[in-house]
Amino acid sequence: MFRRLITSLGTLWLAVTLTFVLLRLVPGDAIAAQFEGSSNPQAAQLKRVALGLDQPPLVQYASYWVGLVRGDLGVSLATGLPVTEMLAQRWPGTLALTGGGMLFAIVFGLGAGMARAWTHGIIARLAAFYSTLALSIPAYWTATLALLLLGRWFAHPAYSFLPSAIIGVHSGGVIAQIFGGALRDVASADYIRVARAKGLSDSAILWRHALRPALVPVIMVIALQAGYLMSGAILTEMIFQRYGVGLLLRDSVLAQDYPVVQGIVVILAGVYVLLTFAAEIAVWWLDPRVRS
Amino acid sequence: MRRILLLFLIFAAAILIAPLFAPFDPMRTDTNNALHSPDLTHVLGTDHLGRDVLSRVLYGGQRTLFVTVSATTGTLLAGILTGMILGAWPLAQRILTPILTACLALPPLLLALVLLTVSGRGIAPLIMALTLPQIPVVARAMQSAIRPLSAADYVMAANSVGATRSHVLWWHIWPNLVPFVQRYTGVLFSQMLFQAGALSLLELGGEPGVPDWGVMLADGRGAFLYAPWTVLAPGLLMVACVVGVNWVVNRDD
Amino acid sequence: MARHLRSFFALTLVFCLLAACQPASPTANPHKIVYGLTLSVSGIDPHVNSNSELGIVLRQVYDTLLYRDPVTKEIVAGLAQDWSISDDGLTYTFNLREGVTFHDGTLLDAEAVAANIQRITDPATASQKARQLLGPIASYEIIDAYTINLILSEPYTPLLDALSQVYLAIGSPKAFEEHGLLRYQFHQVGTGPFIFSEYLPDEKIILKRNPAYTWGPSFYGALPENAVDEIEFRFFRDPATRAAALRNGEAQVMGEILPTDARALTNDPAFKVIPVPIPGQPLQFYMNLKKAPTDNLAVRQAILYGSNRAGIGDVVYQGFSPVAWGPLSAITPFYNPNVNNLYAYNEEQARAVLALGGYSDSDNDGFMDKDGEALEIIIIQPPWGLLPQVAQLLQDQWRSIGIRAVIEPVPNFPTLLEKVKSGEYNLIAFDTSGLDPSILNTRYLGASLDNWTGYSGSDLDRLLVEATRTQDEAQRRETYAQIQAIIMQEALILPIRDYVNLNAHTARLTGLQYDPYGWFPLLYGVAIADQ
Repeated sequence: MFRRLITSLGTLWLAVTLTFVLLRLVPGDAIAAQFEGSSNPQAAQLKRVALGLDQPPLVQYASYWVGLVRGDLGVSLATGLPVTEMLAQRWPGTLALTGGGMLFAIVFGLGAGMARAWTHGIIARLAAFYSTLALSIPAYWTATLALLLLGRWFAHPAYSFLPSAIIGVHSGGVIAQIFGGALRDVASADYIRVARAKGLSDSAILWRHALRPALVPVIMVIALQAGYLMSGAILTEMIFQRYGVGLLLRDSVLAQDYPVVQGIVVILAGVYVLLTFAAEIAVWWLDPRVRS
Repeated sequence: MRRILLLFLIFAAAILIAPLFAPFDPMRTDTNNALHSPDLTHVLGTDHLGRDVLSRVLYGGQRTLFVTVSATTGTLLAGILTGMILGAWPLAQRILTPILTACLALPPLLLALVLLTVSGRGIAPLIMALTLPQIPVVARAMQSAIRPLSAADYVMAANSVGATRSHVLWWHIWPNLVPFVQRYTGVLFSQMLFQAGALSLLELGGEPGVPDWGVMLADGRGAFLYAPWTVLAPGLLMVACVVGVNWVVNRDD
Repeated sequence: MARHLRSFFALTLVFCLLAACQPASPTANPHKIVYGLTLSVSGIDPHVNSNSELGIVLRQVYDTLLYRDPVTKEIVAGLAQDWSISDDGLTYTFNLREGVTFHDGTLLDAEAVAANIQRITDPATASQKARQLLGPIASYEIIDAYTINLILSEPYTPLLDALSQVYLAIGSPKAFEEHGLLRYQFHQVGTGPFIFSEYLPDEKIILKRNPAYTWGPSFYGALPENAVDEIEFRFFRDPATRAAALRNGEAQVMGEILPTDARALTNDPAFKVIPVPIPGQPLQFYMNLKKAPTDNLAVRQAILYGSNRAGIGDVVYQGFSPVAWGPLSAITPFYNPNVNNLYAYNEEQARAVLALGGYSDSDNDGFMDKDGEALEIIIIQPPWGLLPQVAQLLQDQWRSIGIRAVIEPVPNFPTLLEKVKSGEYNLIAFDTSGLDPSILNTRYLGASLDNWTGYSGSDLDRLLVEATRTQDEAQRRETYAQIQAIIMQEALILPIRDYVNLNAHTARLTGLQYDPYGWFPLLYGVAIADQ
């Protein structure tokens, strides 16, 4: 437990440091852009000094950490607002979008995977069709088509889950592929044949013996998808005007607004640590072989 | 095995010789002929700048497939290798896992911006921008898939007779990992295929004007309702590629 | 097993069918409209920030000392009911209207105006545009409760124009104090026809009608029936979905529609497209005289002759924008029509000019060269304004005259500025809008830090300064005519098209006008009929 805390802190430290370095590899910053054309270079410089940007990078790095320990993520270079406030405003929307999206993804993905592995005929074919189709079209295209052709429905608040559903359809395709395959691999395993020979019913076999080991490789994939969606659903956010962390990240990266990007990375690092930890626990619980 | 060979041949043909069949210069614009519906001269119509869609699709296929296949292969190699190291050596696991998790938190956009500004345009930075963010993802997924395999009985048996770790990896773990890798390849291929287009939508794209299916798909969003042929051609081909790759990797369908 | 799965799928199917029932458009308040903004902004304080989005919103929240009549473009009374200028052009006296109150109940008087001037000129405010608009202001003088003098350090004719811009809005000093510099943008208080109600960054801004508003400029007129009483501004950042939002009722007004969508909407009786020309600089590329080969006049002129700008206008802008011929767009005051058709598209002429300049295709690679150096132009292309399409067309058009163009996309503004700093560019795209041609000064004065062409000419400098000092309109017209002529004779820029903002709205909406600056709607008289 203690070791895990240390490694988590190490992860956080590394993520922040890498981001810090990467951000400063791109020349220019958010301040110059604000005063362009006003023939007032002093204003830009004054603002830089006020924000501490004139200090050497190592000093900026150190003071960032000092602030971080106190829970202060700094102030946005572009808006002047505290980073914590900007993130707090956007995170609920992202969580709703991502959480909803993952729920749909798990339902669609596991359902389709099971259908493909355990049924025959039309349902299996539909499930296979679904998972291949979900992978053949990018989510941003489905989102665009949905908005262009079915736009009326999206405006209504009762259907605010639809963007999550679209995300879920595509992430579900990923899950369905992996899960369906894992189920089929498990079906040919020895212990399944033994169970069949023992006379267990099909559904007992599938639910009690095949499901858990097949879930093992999928759990981590699900966790990674969830993490990716937190900051990666940028285009979906843009198309549906759900301004969450993804769009904020994109704007801040393009504006070279260091504190906001760093703040998002801090949170993302924490999120990934939690997600991968949860995935490991789930795997440990699911597969008795791993416990030993 | 036959399936893989067939797919490989098709892709290689697309990359190497498809552009030879292009009737027009894919970069040649024509302001008098923009968004023209398909006819005898322009079999797939023209795009928003008057360029021949068929030629752009043929040249675009070359570039898109090359980028996607390279990115997928590179990611898989690096990811599987890392994943196996993680799975087999506990010490490596302790050091590498936090590094990988930290890399997961790095926004791919930031990486793309840095690569774009530092290395400029070109195919190599694009492939790097696609590959690097995915390597930790693949590595973690592989590690998770290897875990139960390395706890299996046959592994314990092999260890008890003194087999080296790499022997165990190669002869016992890897063959049981292959199905997972195959399926993951299908997923990864499709993600890479669309990522270049997504990057261009986010204004971090590569060389402007150079034909690329993903970029054509992204650019075509604005004119889709009026000129669907600009999107249908690259879109359907991309669907075909993903279906093809999945048909190969899901060998027991 | 199959049984479980079947019920699972049945449930999913029912779920989807439920989702497929079409709901009616939600409008709790029939007098509310949603106005589509297009860009995310980092702040909306008119004294601090410089984006046009804030102007679109805040034009309804604040009055300015002066206004510009949207039809005649003349300067008319606003909060200042009359004004006078001293003979030496240094003192401007404004007599304010009496009986005007801010939305928080406080009175508008000379002290309030003074507080605004102070806020704008305070270095701590770090104003990005408002301070610059005020020009060489030195101090102010409060004569009595409703009279204030603004004193300049040198004559500056554009001051009246500046005072009619929303960036010099007059806000409540009490509110400034109460909320502080950073937070004021969330609680703005003006005197205008709409009250600022809520601001959620990147999500929405809500305004509600001010029932006490009776002091509007002359062109506001009487309130119509069915006048709108609530406006929600939302951000629609994806250009491909803007028209869709309009069509499906999510927004009633939308700005910056894609030209292809605008073309389609003009044929739809349920909507009206309003193309609004924007005065100021057109969409253009500055040419860098400090880097070869654009240091050679022949090359610059060849570029101008070799660009089929009408074709670009047709294809990229669907014919909504006229070709731009000079450094100012045609509707800008003091536009010199003699620049029209200067450098009209003519490939022969382009080749001839290059030949005269010593260029030829000596290595037969299809591109020109001279003294062993290939003719290569680096174009810096930012992602906005459909510029990527323009750049690709130019690149292909120049191939016919033997110029190789390398397009360097820059993803954002800071990178663009870095390119400028590095000097590694031949053509770079940028432009500013405005009604007074003095916007040319920062770009063309030899000593200006924002001069991206690198051209420094004593004639041009003299003329640019003269034009901002004289009050005589005829003289200004003559001076600006010369300025535009010089800029084009020296071929300092490649103008592409006059900016036209493509707005569209539902046909149920009436009374929508745009102010002469082009970007900012006047929503006072907007009414919406019931469905």
